[in-house]
Amino acid sequence: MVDEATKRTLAAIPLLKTRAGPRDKDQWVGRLKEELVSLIKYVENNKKQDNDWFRLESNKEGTRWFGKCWYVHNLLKYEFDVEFDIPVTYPGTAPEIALPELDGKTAKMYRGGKICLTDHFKPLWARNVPKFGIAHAMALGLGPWLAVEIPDLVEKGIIVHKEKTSSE
Amino acid sequence: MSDWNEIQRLAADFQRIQLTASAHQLSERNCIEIITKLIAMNKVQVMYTIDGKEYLTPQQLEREIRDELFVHSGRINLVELQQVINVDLTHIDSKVKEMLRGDRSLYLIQGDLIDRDYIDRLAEEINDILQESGQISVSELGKTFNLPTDFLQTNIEKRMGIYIHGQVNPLERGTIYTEAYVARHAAKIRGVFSAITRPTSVSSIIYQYSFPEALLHDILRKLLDEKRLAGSVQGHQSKAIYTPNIYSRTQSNWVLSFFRQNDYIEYDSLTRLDITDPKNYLKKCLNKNVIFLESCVSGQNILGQVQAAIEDVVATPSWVDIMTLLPSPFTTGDASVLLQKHCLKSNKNNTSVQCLCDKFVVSNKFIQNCLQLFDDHMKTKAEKVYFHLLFIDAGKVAAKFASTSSTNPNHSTLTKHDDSNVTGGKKKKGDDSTSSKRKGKGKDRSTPDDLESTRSHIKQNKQDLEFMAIPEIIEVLQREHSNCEDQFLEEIASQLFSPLKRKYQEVAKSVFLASTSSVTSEKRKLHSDAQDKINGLLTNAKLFGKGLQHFSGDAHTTLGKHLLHTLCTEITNIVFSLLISEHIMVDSDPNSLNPETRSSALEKFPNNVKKAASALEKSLSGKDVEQFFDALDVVLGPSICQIMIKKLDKKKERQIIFNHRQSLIEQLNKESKPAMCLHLCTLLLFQRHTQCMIHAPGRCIPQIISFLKQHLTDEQYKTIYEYQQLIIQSIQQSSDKQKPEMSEEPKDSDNSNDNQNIDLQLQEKMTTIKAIALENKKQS
Repeated sequence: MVDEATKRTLAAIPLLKTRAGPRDKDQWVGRLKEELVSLIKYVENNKKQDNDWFRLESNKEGTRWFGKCWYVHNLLKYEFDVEFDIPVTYPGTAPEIALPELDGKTAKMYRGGKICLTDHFKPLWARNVPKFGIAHAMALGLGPWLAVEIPDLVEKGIIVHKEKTSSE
Repeated sequence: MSDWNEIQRLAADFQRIQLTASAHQLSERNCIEIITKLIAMNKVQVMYTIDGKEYLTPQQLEREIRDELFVHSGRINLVELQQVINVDLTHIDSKVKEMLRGDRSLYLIQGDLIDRDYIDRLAEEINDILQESGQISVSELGKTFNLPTDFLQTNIEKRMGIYIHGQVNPLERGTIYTEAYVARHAAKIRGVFSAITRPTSVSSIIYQYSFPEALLHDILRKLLDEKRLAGSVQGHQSKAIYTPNIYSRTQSNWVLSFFRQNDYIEYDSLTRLDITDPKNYLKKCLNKNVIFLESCVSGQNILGQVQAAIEDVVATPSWVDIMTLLPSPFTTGDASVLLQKHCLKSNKNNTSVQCLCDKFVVSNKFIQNCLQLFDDHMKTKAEKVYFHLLFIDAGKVAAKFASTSSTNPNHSTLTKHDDSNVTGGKKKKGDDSTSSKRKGKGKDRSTPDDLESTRSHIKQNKQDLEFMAIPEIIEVLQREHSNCEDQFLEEIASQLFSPLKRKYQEVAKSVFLASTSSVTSEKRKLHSDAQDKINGLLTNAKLFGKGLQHFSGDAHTTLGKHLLHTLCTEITNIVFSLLISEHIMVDSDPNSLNPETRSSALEKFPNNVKKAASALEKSLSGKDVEQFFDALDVVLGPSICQIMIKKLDKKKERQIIFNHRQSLIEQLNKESKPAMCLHLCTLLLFQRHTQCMIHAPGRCIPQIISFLKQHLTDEQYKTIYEYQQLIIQSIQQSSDKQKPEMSEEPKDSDNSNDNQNIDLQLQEKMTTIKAIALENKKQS
C-alpha cells in the first residue's frame, strides 16, 4: 500500500482527463497540456513543501522525457540522470522510468536501467487510466523507489557520493 | 499550432517553475529548536516576550523602552514598562541599568525611570509653586511629586537660578526661599534683634514672631558678622541665647567697679547677674593678680592685710582670727584656702605659725607659752593624785608604776596612740567625760592587777594618768586669756592635750618612782614567803599522802581526812590569804581563816580565780587527798597565784624523810607524856619499816600498831601492845573521873589507886618503848 504522505501528495496533483497517446495528434496536444499543468502543480507543491527532488524536460513532441532526480541521504545529495519514453499505448501503459547510471547495480531494475515498480503500482495505474499522468508516475513510482533503494545502495557502497554533486 | 504554442509555453513555465528556488520552509517546532540552539551557542541574543510568541533583540528592547519613556512624558515605572513591552521584568531591569550606565540623562528613582526633560519640567513646576508661596520645603515637594528628598535636593540645587529663582538655606538644606522672602525676614530680624537689650533666648523670639528657624540663624549670623547687630550668640540652635553687647558691657562694668571698690567679689553675686560660669568669667574679666577662693575672688589688698596680720602674730607671740580681717561675705572655707594656699605657703614664717580651725593663726611661741602655764598645775596635781592613791592602796599603785616604768619601750607607741586620739578634737571631748569617770571609779574598785599581768592593763593605767580633760584645760586657758573665743581655746586645748599628758606622765612617774620602790619589794617578799611556805607544806603533805598508801579501808580514810584537816587546810589558808591580799586588797592572817571567812572571800574573787579556789575549798571537805592536790595545782598555776612548785626528787625526798625522823626522835627524847610518847614511837616505827612518813592522829595509833605487828618481833609487839592498853586504860579512867564528878565517893579511892598504878607502869615502860623505837632506828 501507499503510505499516508504519498497519498496526500497524490491527492494534491491534479488529475487528467484526456485519454490520448502520442499518436493521437490533436488529442495528444490536449493530453500533453494536462500533463504539463499537473507537473507544474506537482513541482509547485513540492517546492512549497521544500520537497523538490527532480528536474524534467521533454522533447518538442513530449514523447521523450529526460532530466535529473536526487535523493538526500545522510545530509548528502545523490543525483542521478533520469529518462523515459511515452509508450505508444499511453496512457493505458505506464511510462518506464529509467536511471541508466544505476544499470546493473541493483536487482530491482530491468535492463537499460528501468526501475522495477512495486506490485501495487501497475493495478493502481490501471485503475486510474486516464486520470494519472507523468506527475503521478514520478510521485508514485520513482519517489518511493529512490527512498527504498538509495539508502540500501549507499549502505552497500555500490554508489558513492560524488564531490561534484555535493558542491552544487 | 496554437495548441503547440501553448504546450511550448507550458513547457517553458514548467522549466521556470522547476528552476525557481524552492521555498526553504521550516516548521515552527524546528524554528524554536534552532533558535534555542543558537542561543545556547551564543550565536544570537534575543529575548522572549512573556507570552512566548515573539523574540526581541536587545536593541529592539532599548528602542521600545525609550519610546515608552517618551510616550509617558519622561517618567515611567518599570512595572508599568514591563506590562507595556510584555517582556520579563529582569530583562527590562538589566536593560535599564545598562542604559543608565550609558546615558547620563536618565535616572532610576524608586523604580521609576526618569529622564532629564522630566526633571526640567518638574523644576519649572517647583518654581511656580515657590514664587507663589515664598518658601517651600524639599520634603514637602518630595511628598507631592513622590520623589526622595535627596534626589530632589541635588537636582533643585543644580537648577537653582536656571529654572528655579530662589535660594537654598546653606545650613538647613531642606527649604528653598525666594529672594524676596529672605529679604523680608532679614529686615524683620534686624529690627527685632536691634531692639533687644538683655539676654534673650533665640527660640522665644522665633516663637513670638514665627520666624523660620533655619533662616533666622543664618541671617542672624550674617548680621552679627557684618556688625550690623552688636551682640553675641551663645549656644547652638534651639538653646542659643542672644546677648546684646550693651548688656554684657554693663555687666562687666558693674563687676569691675564692685571689685575695684571692695577688692573682692562673690560668685553668688555674679550668678545673680545671670553669669553662668562666674569663675571663668572673672578669669577673663579681671587681671591675673586675683585669688580664687571657694565662694569669691579676692584681690591683692586683702591678701596683703592678712599677711601683715600674720607677720604681726609671729612678731608678738599671739594669735589672730583672720575672719575679722576679711570682708563679711567670706566664709571660713575661703579663709582656709586663703591661709593654706596663699599666705602660709608663700610666707617663710609658716614654720613658726599654725593655722587652727581654718581661721585662727597662732604663732608656735604662743602655744609654748600656754604650755608653760600648766607646769605648776602639773606638779601639784601629780603629788595630790599620788597621795590620794597611796592612801587607798599603796601596793596597787606601786605595782602600777612599777609596770609603767618596766614597760618603758612601749611608752612611745602608746602615747602616739593617744596623740592620734587627741587630734580628733571634738570627738575627744565626749571621750573625756567617760575616761575621767573611769578614773574616779578605778580608785574605789581596786581593779584586779597582778604584778605580772599588768601588761594588759597598761592602757587603762595610761588613761588613769590623764592630766586634765580638755574642758579643764580650756578653763585654765580662759583664766589667762579671757579675751579669746571659746572655739579658739578649744582648739588650743586639744593641741595641748597630748603634750600635756605626756609631760604629766613623766612628772608623775618621777614622783612615784621616788617614793614607791619600798612598797614594791614588800609585796614581792610577801609572795615569795607564801611560795616557800606552800612548797614546804606541800612536799610534806605529798609524802604523807604516800605513807597513806600503806593503809586501806577505814584507816585510810581517817588518815586521809586527818591529813586534809591539818596540813592541807593550812596550805589552803595560805593560798587564800595570798589571793585575798591580791584581789580584795585586805591583808589577812592565814591563821585566822576558817571555812566561813574563806567562803565569804570566795564571793569577792574574780570569776576565774573563784572557780579554781572554790574547787580547792570543796576538796578540803572530801576524803581524797589526790583530789586536793589536783585542785591545788590549778590554783597555784600561773594564771592565778603564779607560785612555783618545786618538784620532788629522790634525794630531796630522802632528806626530808630523814629530817622528819630526826625531829620525831628529838621530840621523843624530850617527851614525858606516855600517850604522846607512844604516838611518836609508833610514827617512828612506821617510818622505819615502810620508809614512808605518816601523819596520823592519836585515834589511829591502834591501827598503826596492828599494821606494825608483822614487822616487829613478838616481844617488841607485846610491849608496845601492853603499853597501848595501859594508855587506853588511863585515858578511860581519866575520862571516867571527869564524867561522874559527884557519883560514888568510895570508888574514887580505888580508881585513883588504879590510876596511880597505871601511871607508874606507864612511866616505867616509857623508857623501854623509847628504847624500842630508838633501837629500831639504830638497826636501820
